[in-house]
Amino acid sequence: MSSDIISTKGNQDILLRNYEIMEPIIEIRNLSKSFMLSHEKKETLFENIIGLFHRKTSYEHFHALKNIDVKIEKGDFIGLIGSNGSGKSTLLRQICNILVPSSGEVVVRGRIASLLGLGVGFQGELTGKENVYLYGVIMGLSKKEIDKKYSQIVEFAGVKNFMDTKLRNFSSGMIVRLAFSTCIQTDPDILVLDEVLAVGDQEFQKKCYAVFEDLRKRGTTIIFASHDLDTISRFCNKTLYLKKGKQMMYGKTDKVVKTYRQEIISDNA
Amino acid sequence: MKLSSNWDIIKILAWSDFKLRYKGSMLGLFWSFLKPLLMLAILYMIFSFIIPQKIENYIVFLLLGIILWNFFVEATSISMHNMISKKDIIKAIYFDRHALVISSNFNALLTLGFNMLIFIIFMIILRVGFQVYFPIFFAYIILLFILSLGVSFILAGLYVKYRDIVHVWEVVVQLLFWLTPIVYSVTSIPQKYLAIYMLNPLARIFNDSRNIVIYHQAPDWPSLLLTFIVCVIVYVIGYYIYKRQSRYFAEEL
Repeated sequence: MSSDIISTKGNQDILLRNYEIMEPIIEIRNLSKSFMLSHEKKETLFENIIGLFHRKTSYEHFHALKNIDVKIEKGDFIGLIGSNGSGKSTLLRQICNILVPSSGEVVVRGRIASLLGLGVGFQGELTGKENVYLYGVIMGLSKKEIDKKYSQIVEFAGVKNFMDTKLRNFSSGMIVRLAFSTCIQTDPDILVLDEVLAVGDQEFQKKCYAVFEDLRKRGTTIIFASHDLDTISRFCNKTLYLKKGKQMMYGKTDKVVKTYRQEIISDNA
Repeated sequence: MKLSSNWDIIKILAWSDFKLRYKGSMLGLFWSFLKPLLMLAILYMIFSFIIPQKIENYIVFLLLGIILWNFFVEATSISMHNMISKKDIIKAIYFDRHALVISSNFNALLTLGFNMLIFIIFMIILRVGFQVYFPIFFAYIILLFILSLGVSFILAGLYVKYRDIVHVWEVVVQLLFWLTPIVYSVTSIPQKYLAIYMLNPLARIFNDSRNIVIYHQAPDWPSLLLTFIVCVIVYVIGYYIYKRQSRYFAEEL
């Protein structure tokens, strides 16, 4: 279902137009995700065959997400908060169609660009330039479009002198800058960000905030996971608070952040 | 699959992987010429002096077998290897996962292209000559490509979950090397086993290609059709196995 909508590029525009007024751009319906954690990890065929006779291995279902039910409207700027291991990244990866739901579903009506984690899929052995092209086409740009936008991407990232060096020589800050500037050039309907800006310096963060403002004006839907509550409060109109995979609260940012702050204090006390 | 929208991904992946393959080695791209020639030298020595084969134009016979075989082995092993080396992309971004295997096969196809130049040079030097049906040879290369895509889909799709596959495949490759007419001719196969032997689509591709290219025979159309059918079946099976497995790649890598 959701995968069809994400992968059929041509239909997206039509879908988007039809649903623009009435349907939310992202609908997460009763979504649960659990991972099988086998205590004795069987990876090879041999181990699996042995496992057929030895049913001793104990599996533990790790419930990363439990019954998440959220609607996101077009143009929303959603904050995603929760302590480490609360399921933020899993939820974002579900939205991006990287993971398959254990139950429930995610319906996405638009084109997604995502920036998940520090590696973001860049290849250390390729140069900065090659990585921009690879990342760009995978995000759905054509090679020609990247040709056109390349100088903008490099300029925004501020890594002009490094573009012909291998990526493994880049600092983590530089990688994120490059990934972020490529990502926003794909002109997505939905932008999914996973605490990536924390590594950038002050100056780059300022640049990003300017981009956020701009994207918000253009009606881009943004989902932003972060521990930085001030940034969340500043930009997000709605916030989702997760705790151990459960949806604790979803609504106006002020209220959710306030509750979250109180809970952190009471948890620590 | 929608090849058009993925075409740019495939192109860029294939080209950057191809460049990486020879980066850092002193002889660089030269290796892709050197490898089949070295293999030719070894096999030619063995099968001319130790176990002599009575085959006309044996050097080009052998060379053609070697470069087609190298393509098949390279394509399948790069496909599996790419599942691991592209792990970070798979975990971070959603895109049609088929592009990974297709690009690996194009990567190997580039090497085949370079090797084909050597082969043509040998054809000219040894005065084998070209006939009108020579272009049918490219139809067989396309079939070989479809077949190796199908096999790569199966292997790569299962490899993510069952890492043994890579070792199993190493042994199977050894077996296939001797079950495919690379160093010997199909005529050495006893008549009663021939029908079974020819079920191997590689055997047909290798044998028919040589008959057209080196021995200037008219194409065996029924055989071409049969090979086409087998290759497409393998491709379709592979495509769906890979499609099913690829949904869980991000969790299993």
